[in-house]
Amino acid sequence: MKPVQIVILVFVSVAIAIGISFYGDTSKYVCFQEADEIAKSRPNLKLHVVTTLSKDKPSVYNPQVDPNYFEFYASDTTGLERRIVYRNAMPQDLDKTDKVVLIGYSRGDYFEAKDILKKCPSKYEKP
Amino acid sequence: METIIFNNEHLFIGNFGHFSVVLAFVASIISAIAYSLHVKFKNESLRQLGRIMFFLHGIAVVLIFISLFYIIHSHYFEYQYAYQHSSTDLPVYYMISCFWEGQEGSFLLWMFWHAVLGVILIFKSKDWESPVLTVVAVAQLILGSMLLGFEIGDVKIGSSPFILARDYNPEMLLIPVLEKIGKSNYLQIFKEGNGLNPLLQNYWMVIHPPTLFFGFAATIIPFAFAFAGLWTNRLKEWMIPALPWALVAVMILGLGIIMGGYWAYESLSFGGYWAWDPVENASLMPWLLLITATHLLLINKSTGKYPVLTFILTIASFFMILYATFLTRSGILGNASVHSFTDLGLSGQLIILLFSFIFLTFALSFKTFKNRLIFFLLGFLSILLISVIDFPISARIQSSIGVVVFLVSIIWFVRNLFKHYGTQIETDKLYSREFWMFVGSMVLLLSGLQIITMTSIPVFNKLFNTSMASAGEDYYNSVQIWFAIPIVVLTAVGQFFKYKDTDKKRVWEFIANSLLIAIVIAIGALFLFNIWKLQYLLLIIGGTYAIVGNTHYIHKVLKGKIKLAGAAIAHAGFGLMMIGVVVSSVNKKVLSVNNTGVGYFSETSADGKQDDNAKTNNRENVLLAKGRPILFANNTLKATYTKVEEIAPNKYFEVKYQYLDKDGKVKDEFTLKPNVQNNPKMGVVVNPDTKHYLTKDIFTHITFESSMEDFEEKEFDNFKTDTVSIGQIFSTEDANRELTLRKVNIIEASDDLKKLHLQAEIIINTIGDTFIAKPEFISDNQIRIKEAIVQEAGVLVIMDRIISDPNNPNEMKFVITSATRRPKMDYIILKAIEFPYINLLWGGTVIMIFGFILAIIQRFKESKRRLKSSED
Repeated sequence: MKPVQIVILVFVSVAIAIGISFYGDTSKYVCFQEADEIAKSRPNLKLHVVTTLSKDKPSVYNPQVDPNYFEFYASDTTGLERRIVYRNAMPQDLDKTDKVVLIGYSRGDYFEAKDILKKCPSKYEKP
Repeated sequence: METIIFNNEHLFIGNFGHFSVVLAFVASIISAIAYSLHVKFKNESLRQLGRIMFFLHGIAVVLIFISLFYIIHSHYFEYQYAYQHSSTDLPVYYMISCFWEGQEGSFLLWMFWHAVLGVILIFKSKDWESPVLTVVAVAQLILGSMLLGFEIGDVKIGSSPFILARDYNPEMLLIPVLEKIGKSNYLQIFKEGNGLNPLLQNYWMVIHPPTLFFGFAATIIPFAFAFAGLWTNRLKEWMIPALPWALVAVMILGLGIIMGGYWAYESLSFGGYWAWDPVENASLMPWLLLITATHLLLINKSTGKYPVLTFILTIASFFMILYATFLTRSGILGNASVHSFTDLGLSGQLIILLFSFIFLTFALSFKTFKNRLIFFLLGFLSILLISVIDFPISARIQSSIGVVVFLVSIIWFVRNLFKHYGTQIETDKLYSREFWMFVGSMVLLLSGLQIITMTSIPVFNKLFNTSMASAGEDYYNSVQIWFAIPIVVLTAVGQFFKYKDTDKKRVWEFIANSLLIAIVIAIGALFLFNIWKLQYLLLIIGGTYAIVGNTHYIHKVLKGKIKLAGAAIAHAGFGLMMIGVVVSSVNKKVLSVNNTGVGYFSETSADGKQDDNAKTNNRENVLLAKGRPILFANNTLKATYTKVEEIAPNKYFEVKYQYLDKDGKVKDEFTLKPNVQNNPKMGVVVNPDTKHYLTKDIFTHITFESSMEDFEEKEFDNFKTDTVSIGQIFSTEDANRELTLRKVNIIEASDDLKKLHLQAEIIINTIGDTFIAKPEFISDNQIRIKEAIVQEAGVLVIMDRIISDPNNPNEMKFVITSATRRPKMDYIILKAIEFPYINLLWGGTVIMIFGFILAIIQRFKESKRRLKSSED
């Protein structure tokens, strides 16, 4: 085999490997119920849940007690509501958005968010 | 319908601006037609027409810019753009930033750079002018159409930056106040704009977008040359003038990307410079393809190998720019990105832009006009139909058909290319530079493909109705590092080979010598950084090897001729960058680790139950009460929140940092002023502050501050009454506050003591803090008492009575009632991060850019020489 052919062979195999890992590793957008199911078999798989904040329910952030504990309620696209625990400082301007994407794990009675994706604060909001 | 005449509007400038938009659009159409006809008919007057029209177009673009700037600068808030993106308090340099906050301004910026580059090419590209300028003019007419703002029925073509606010949002004239003063005087109310996002009010945001868009714009040049080569059947010649321009585009785009990273590092609070967000990736995808294409262009220049791949990657990098624009501007990223850009309903137009360019290029690979037309119409129209119209079949099937049509077009195109270039079997020798450059290029390409695939997930979801989530930072980091390692190593290895064939012994000598030196240095570095994980260790050795090997090459082979050393310097700079990336992120240290343990939730959840998951608690935010220092980093760094300075709407919190030695003495100190802006229109925005040392940065930002808390004033309770004498120490009921009656001042006293006004001074000691309370006792005809409340300590004190001991008239006792509640503290929640050796990254960038500049100068000279000799 010529060197170039070897390179091309390696190239193609790595490309295929990327393709396969792409299907294996990507997390999914789920609702809370699906998250509960997945958590039973793969508790360490990070899941994405598109949610709407429940603004009528109080959120808890007592920085004087623990600056790294924030708790609130949100419901998924099916309307199911869950308590969300975010072990970090309260994100700024959560009240300015409605929809947030939560990335984390279902812990049974609550959802543990490792990341909260919210849009940049009203950067391009219509007046 | 009644016609209202509105007062105080400045309509001339808007009309003028809009006229300039139309002029720019029409001029670019004529220019494109004239230039393309010149390619076919070679009639000199056609070329002259094309030129004049392009100049006119350029002038019109500048006029659009001036009009819009004039509107923003004069605060004409009757215009939507000024109203939405600016305000009267903006300094002039940030008015420039207003341009790129909106989508129209960004397209305008892009057009501006195209126009500038187009004019340069008119003068510089000799007999390539007509086909190349045709491409630029077509791009301009498509971008120009994005600014037209015409509505034909339901179809909106473009979005004008000169639209009036009352046209954009007619409801604004319905607000009740206008009933009184009359709608025609609405501008008396709308005297202030929305303002610029505070995050964009940063000096890097003045220069980062223009640089990035310059890079975006520059990628059209190598594409235009490739396109022109295929069009005029100069299949290899196009690579000579394209190479230096490809280098220019790579350098400027790269610089723009890194400036964006630096801006994020300086002014965003996620604590880093790169987060693999889709918007960031979108700028990296074309860069990686273009740097690969550049290397292939270099191989081609010396050996003429891999022409088809070179062609494909050159055009693909430009398509990637268009694709990136589609990704970031169409709103398709939706849930995947934290960045949001408005969707002005232009996604259809962006798809047309993308596919028209792709299919124009594909069609050119046919020889006859008829075949070109048939292919273009069939391919382009079918893709368009499939992506725009909903057929009564399942969305998944419809998308699949679209994808298959597209793939078939690509295969057909590649087959045509192979026909043109002839399928030659590449016979690279192992001991040749082109072979190793090819290997390096393939690794770069793989790295790019991985990023493109992962970033396109939202597109796949849309096409196939799936619900895959985008990958996170960790995933990208763990994959990309394995591409980075071979790349840095190859930058040094490749240098020691010559094109075509090299003396084996000499090569091995060079490689081995520099590798040995590099390993020795790298081991030293590894001990210094204390990094021993395999992939990081390999990247540090590889990066060091890139620096040593390239330096060795400059010294031994180039004999120190700096003018020729562009590539070697850029490669060494890249090596240094990679070391900086590894060290600053692997050794990144959160200083503000919260282990105070006071009332800490730790392993219990909110309802008090034991919770194992809580062990994963993040403890990276610390509460700093004003005046109460906290020790970080094994008691070597003392942080104190000293004061707050309010310059509305900003609050600057001064945090004093003091480095302590073993005895607790202050070695070094500095003050950071992270700020919180409570912008009435945009909400709370935090800005970090960073102390830069040569070997490390201390990054600090505020995650919360006491005034954000909804402080609920509870009633005082825990009442307790003490009878104390002066100097006596006592405490509140809950024993958390220690009280001392320091003294009692006599403010007024009549001789018979019928009239008495006393003021007690009570020292309150809470944990670490001291306050003073001054309750008063007034006895006139009746007794009045004035309580004293210290909010920060949560203490109320009352001086109830005075007891004088008849036996000892000099000794007075005072009855003091105290009560407590939760104190209202002045505090900040702070996160502090140390980035060690991050200057290696920035330093490496500067070196890399310097190398690029040298290489660009060298390649331009060379291409000029070669173009001359080919003309002779």
